[in-house]
Order: sequence, then structure tokens, then C-alpha cells
Amino acid sequence: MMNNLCVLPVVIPMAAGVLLILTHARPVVSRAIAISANILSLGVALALVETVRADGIQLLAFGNWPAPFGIVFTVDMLSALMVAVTMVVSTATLLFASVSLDDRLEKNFFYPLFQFLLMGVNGAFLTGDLFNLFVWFEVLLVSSYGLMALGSQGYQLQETFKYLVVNALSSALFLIGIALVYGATGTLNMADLVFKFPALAESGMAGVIAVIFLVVFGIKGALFPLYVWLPRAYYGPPTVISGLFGGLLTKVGVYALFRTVTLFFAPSSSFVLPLLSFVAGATMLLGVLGALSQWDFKRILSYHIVSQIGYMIMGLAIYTPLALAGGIFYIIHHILVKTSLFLVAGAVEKRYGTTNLRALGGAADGSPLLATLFMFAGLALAGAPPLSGFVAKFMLLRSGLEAANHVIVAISIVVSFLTLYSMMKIYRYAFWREEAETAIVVPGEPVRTFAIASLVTLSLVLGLGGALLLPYVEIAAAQLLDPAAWGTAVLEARVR
Amino acid sequence: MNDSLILATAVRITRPVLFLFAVVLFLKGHNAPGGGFIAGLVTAVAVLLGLLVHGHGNRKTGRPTFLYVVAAGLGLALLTALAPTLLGWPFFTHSFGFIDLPLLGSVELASAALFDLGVYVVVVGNVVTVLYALTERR
Repeated sequence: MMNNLCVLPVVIPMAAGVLLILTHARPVVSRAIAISANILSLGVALALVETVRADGIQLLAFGNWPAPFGIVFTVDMLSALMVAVTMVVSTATLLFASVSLDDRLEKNFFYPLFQFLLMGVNGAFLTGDLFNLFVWFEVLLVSSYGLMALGSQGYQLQETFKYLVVNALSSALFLIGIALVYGATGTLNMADLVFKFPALAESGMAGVIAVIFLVVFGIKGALFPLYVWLPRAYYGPPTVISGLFGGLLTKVGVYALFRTVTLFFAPSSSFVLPLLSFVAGATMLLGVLGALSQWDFKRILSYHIVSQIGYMIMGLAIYTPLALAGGIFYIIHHILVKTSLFLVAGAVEKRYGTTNLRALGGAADGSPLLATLFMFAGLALAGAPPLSGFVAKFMLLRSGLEAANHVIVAISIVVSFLTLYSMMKIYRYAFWREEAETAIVVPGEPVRTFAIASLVTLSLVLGLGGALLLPYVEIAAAQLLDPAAWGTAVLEARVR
Repeated sequence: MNDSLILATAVRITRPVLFLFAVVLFLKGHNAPGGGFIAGLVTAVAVLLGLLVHGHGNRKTGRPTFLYVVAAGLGLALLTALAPTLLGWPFFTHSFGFIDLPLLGSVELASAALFDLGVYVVVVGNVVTVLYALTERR
């Protein structure tokens, strides 16, 4: 099914980014353009989800060159859902940023960088070509360097430089992996690779390539033992930007793992899934232990990003329809909830001027609504019913038990409790106690609260009405587990 | 800037050649090695030579202006890629035709060249922005 709709989630942010360069000196105009572009992309993304549900996989062959030769965008349910949730959180983040960021930062190309970042993220979710995936990763990384260094504080520049070096290394490795794939199979089109990659299993090349890609996406997705760059890097930038990064960026790496493992690596190398299972457990456990020792709102949340990624990989490692559906549900839940938690941290920082838990206190008196929102989001992160985290974790635990993978189930339960402990710690120190700092009244609080509340409400809706999202993630999981059907659909699509 | 007569003279001769070379590369790029990207780099080298000889002069900074050039190039490339979708063709589909010009004979006109022009403009704008930023005296 050839459809130009597929490219709009990339085109709209790009067009907006171009306009926003021109209007960068006028924040009011920029806000209006950026927010309307985001809402437009959100509409397109939802339309894509519905189209895929109704008509199956959607395709777009750029320049009308058919699949194995030209670059194609292949939109299955996973891609469409990822783009949709990306647009939801980025719109909330943008609303939050438009009333929170310093005028100076806004004028310093925040909005164009933000839109180019979205362009890269959406492109990575939509593409059906391995090299093109690399290119979109670069687009989003280059924009993220700019956003991460926005404001140019000493600490920020220092951490951005490390972030840059780590990512440049992993990108180089990515390129080496791609070169190996191309050398061994003569194609980089993912659909074509579905049929050509398994032939490499005999020579052992498949295993080598799988390891390279696991390392690459392990770095980008912050998996054990390659997550060390994340907590420090995400502490530096303004909290809104950390929120967007924490919710979104590592998940692009996780998405790439879901895509490549189900398409090539799991069918051709038997060691991949057990390895992922081990990595998932270690990521969960070490991430949450890292969080326990921290005394800063943002740092705790950053370590929890790492820990939560373990759950997503757990779904991938168990590799049953229910587990994959649970993993995808978890990604969506996590993106919403983690971003909302960071935004709460941002709102608290705005009021009290710090995110250090030792200096904070009494925020619940100052703003009960914010405290309530944090409580809901924190409980969702820990996996308490009736929020979205519960549904996601229930699916994962159940699939783990069905697959008799008891170790990972046990670890994930322990980690859930430790997550709850961390959230309680934040709640106790930042929101309870006597008011330690005097609140400053900063304009824009209602908009900030609205942005957070909309994300938390979505988490509640997905928790109470898990059945709403369930059919979608089940379609996504079924499509992931049948790479041959996916490949055939892409290769046999006729150009116009 | 300490004035070097040798450098200034050399640049005065090489700059026009570089600009012409960029044009040749751009036009050849459709079917042979070359194209907008490399032509943009060659043009940027010409600009860099000018910077080496004349410095920034009285200009405060060229940064914002050249960023607008980047935006223009991106916009041009995007519009070229979007145009076919209006006719129902997939994104990026190119079209071409031949036209008879006096002296040159039959010349191929391709929509891909417009995209390449966008690339050229982006590269020039981008590299010049970076060069200005790096050579600025704080």
C-alpha cells in the first residue's frame, strides 16, 4: 500500500524547523508555529495508526524506486504507535517549555532544534532501510547535542562533550556493522535482509553482526553495561529537555533493538535472546540500585530510565506474542510517565530553584495538584494499579511465568519495589516535610500543570482502559513475530 | 590581520576560478562525480580564502544571515521533494525533460537539480556559518 502519509511525520517537523530558523528571534511567533506543527504531526500520526490498523502495513518508496533498490518507509503498527506517542509527549513538553524556558534559550534556536530532533526520531521509527536508520539516528543526535548544550553552563558542556564522544563511537561502530551487512548480503533494505540474512548463520557472520548491533543499540538505548553515560548527561540540560530526552531518545535505541532483533538476529543466532535476557535483568537491577544512592530529583529519575529500559528488553528477550506486546505497551507507558515525572521535577525546580532533595521540602503544601500528579506518575512508574505501568508489568510478568523464565520475573518484582521506594523517597523529601525553601511564584504554572496532567491522565486512561490499547500492541507484536510476512509485503508492493 | 601581498594576489586570482569550478562541479554532478554538496564545499573554500585575506572587516558577525541561507536551502530541497506528492506521486519522485537552447543544443532539465541546488545552498550556508564562528574574535 503506497501512501504519502508515511513521510508526513518527518516532513512537518522539517518544514516547521525551517520556518523556525527564520523566526528564531521572535519567541511568540516561534511558539505558535512549533505548537501548531506538533499538533498537526500528532493528527497525522494518529491517522497513520488507524490506517495501519485498517489496511495493514503502509509503504512509501522514495522517488518511486521499488523496495530492494530505493529507500522505503515501512510503517507497521509498532512504527505508527511509536510516532504517535512521540508526538504526544513532545507536544506536552513543548507546551511546558514555552512557558518555562529562559527567553535567551528560546531565542538560541531551541524550537528549530526541537523540531529537527522530532524529525530524526520519527524518521528512525518509520524507515525500512538499515543505512537510512543510521542517517536518522545522526539527525536526532546532532539536534540532541545542540539541545543538551543549550545554555552553555560549564557542567553541561563537559557532559555534552562526553555524550558526543560516546555517541560518535557508537555511530562509527554502527557504520562498521552496516558495512559488514552490506558486504555479506549485498543489500541494506530490511525487507530484503529478512530473506538474505539467515544465510549468514552458517559462516558465523550473523553472530558477529548481531553482537556489533547489540553493542551499538545497547549504547544508544542505555543497556547494561553501556548505560554509564546516561545519568550524568541527562542531569545537565534544562529539565524540560531532560524530560524529552529521558522519555524519548533512549527509546529510539530500544525500538531499533525490537526491529532488528525480531527481523534478523533472533531468527539467525540462538545466543541473542538469552543474552538479552541477562542484559535486561542486569539493566533493571543496576539502574535501580544506582537510583537508590542519589539525592537529586533529576538524577534519581535518570537512573530509573536505565532501570525501566530493562523491562522493555525483558519483553523482547522472552519473545512470545504476549511478551512483545507487553514490551511495546511498556515503551509507550514509559515514554508518557517518565516525561511527566521529569516535567514535575521541572515544575518543582521552577518554584524552588533546586532539584536537590535535601534542600527541598513541603512542595505538597505549596502546590497540592503537582504533588498529586507526581504521586500518580510515581505509582505508575512503580507499576501500581490502576495506572498504565500495572498493565504493562502484568503482561510482562505473566509472559515471563508462561515462558518459565523465573529469574527475570523475580528480578523485575524486586526492582518494582525498589522503584516504589525511590518514588516514596522523592515524595517524602520534596513534597512532605516542612517547607524548607520559600517558593517563588513564576508565571506559567497553570500551563505547566496542564502539560503534566495531560500525560498523567493518559497513563490513567491506559491503565483503567488497558483494553483500548491492547488490540494495537497485539497487532504490533504479531507483525514483529512474522518477519517473512512483513518482508513480503514490503518487497511485493507495486510502485505506481 | 597582517596583510600579505602574496596571499592577497593569489586569492584574487584563485577565487573566481574556484567559483567557476563550483559551477562546473554542480552541473556535472547530475550524471558524474560532483554535485551540490561538493560544489558547496568548494564555494565555502573560496569564502574561507577571502576571510584569510580580509578578515571580518567591520562586519560584526555573519552568523544569523548565513543561517537564513541554510533555512532557504532546506526549504528549497523540501519543496522539491514535496512537489510530486501534489500530483499523487510518491515523495521525492523526480521528473526531467529536454529543452533546446541556442548554442548549447538539447539540454536536460531535471527536478533533481533543484534539490541539488538546495543541498548546495545548505552546505554553503552551514560551512560559512561555522567558519565565521571559528574565526570570530571574541
